[in-house]
Amino acid sequence: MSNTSIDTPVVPNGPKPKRMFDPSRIFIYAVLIITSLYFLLPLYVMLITSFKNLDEIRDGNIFVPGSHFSFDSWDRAWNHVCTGLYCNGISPGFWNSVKITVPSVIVSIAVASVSGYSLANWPFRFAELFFTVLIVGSFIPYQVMLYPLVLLTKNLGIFSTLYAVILIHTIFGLPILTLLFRNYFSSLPPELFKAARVDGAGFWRIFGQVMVPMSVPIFTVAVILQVTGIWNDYLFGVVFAGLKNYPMTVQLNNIFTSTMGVKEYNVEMAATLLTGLVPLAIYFFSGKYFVRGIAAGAVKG
Amino acid sequence: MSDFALKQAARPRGNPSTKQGLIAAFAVLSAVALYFDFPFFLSGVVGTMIGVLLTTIISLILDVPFRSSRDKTIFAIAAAIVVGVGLFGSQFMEPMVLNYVFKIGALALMFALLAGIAWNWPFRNLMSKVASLPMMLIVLLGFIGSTVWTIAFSLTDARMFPVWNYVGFNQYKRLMGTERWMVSLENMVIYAIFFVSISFILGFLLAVFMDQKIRAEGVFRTIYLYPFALSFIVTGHVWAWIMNPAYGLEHAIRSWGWTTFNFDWLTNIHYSIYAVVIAGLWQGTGLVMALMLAGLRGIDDEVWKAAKIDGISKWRTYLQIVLPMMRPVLITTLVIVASGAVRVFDIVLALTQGGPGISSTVPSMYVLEKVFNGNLAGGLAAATVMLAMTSVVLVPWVYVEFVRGKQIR
Repeated sequence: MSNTSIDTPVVPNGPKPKRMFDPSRIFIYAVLIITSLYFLLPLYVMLITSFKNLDEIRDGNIFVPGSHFSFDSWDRAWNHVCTGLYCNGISPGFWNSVKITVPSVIVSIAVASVSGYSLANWPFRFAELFFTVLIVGSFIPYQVMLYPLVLLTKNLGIFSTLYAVILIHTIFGLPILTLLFRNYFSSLPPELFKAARVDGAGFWRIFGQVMVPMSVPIFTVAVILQVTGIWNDYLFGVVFAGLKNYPMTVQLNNIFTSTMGVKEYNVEMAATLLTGLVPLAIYFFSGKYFVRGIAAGAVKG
Repeated sequence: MSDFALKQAARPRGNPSTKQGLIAAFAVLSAVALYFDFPFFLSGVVGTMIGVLLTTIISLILDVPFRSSRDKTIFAIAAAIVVGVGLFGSQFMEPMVLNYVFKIGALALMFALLAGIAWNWPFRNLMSKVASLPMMLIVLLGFIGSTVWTIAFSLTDARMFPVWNYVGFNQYKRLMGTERWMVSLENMVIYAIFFVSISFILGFLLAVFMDQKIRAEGVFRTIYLYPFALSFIVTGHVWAWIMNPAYGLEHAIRSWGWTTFNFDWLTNIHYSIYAVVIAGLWQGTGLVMALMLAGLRGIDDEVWKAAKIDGISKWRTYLQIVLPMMRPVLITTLVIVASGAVRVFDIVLALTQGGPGISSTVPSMYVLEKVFNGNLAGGLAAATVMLAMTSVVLVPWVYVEFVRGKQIR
């Protein structure tokens, strides 16, 4: 827009500068700030509730912070709160989620990146058809496919194990990830691929030495997408993982449903916040990539 | 790749017709034996394995459908793996798994040979197909197979176990007479209508405001979008706490002086589903805003300039020019958001557990409950109805996107 350099004559350029307190600007900012407050409110309530003690919660106001500040409820949530049968906090759930997320992310991205590469650079007959079915299939409600997949994993002898969850996350992560990789590989200049072909590189060599090194951004997007998606999953964890491997979301829900006696709202909120912490951290540190990931499915090109 | 010389070079040498016929006959025979568990001369895995082994060895000796020595090597390795699984699989696999793995592997081998003879295509671009094998299996078994299975078994009277006993549309008739199901269906429709319309209006307005070259756009976007990074379970529990009838919003506002203030949606059977809408909007509006904003930014600047020259006001430009131009983005967003509304599940579970009573149950909860608690076919029928609801938005979209000559770009 403003490419004024030394030798151009100084003339008014661009639109007339707006006044600071233009009423329409004030209205815009007011709307944006008020909606921001609505979006921030639950995070604020979670935080202050987790630092209160139970008396303050009973007597006080949900929107007013407590008078003292303690991490007791965080400690209870992490180490001592009852999640169903056991009372050793939500930390086992955290580690289960890690055990589920890490291999699922690796396997699903490996499968999807290779499939996307095949579709983009080495299309074969019916490839587009498979891809179309895959994309359309990603909109089918999970409940439709859930029971047959339970049967399948039972027949494979992996039901109620980590392998089953990993398989299921790979299946349901495939559509969006394949779309992501296929679009990205198609957008790379075809000359690179052709040059590598002429130099005698084959399928895997081009993938490993030409495509992957150029695709760090899209792999980052895929990792973020999958880590948050798998971390936040509840349904597949509760159905396929088995009692021993319940992920954090399932254990969090169990805290709420299995409380006996006094409800410890502060501990519950601390556990909720802990469960949301991993995706939140990822989101705040990688906002741009996160937005790119969620936009990938909807905005083409 | 596709030139004639390559094809010619790849043609099988020698007298093709008799060799091809021989291998095709063997392949068909072993595939048929495999498929029907028909005893060759021995039954089960051993018998079919001998068939596969014979066919493979003959085709390798005669060098028939292969285009290059590399294809031959790959095929030989694949055959060795399948035969190896047949021979030693019982050492480290359960019989059931062995049966599946061996059958799929052997059938794939035979299919490759037959298709190689018939059209010569399995061995063209072979590595790409090998690499896409997991994707193809997931599409065939995971997506198509599971969906067809569910639809098929919803026509039976299976209870605990999937036993094939065809009863036609009985399960659907019973479903329509079940109050719990009708309530959950109604809830889903209410949720979908309110969630989709409000998130669209709010998302579009926010996107337009964000598009006014404002300061700190990144900060606002981060704030609007962060709930989308949180799980439905977390969202549900936070809002359950805020809307808690004893200590939440109602209590807070009453303590500030408005003593007649009433907000008991969580415990009110008439409003509990609207409580879910509030929590859902908090989580999902940011997504709609982000997609719409991306759509707005995709509009050519020339459009704006032209509208300005013609003296059209900003708001009319947005509503009458930009919005219609954003139709692709709007449709895709609608499909994403609406199909999400059909499968709404975790957020209800965390927020209301379907209660009070059954006032906020949704179809996905109904399906899970029936499928795992002894009314399998009923649950599957309910799942099929969910599929039909999704198709209402999905089928027109598929038609526009894929059938009318366009592809996903």
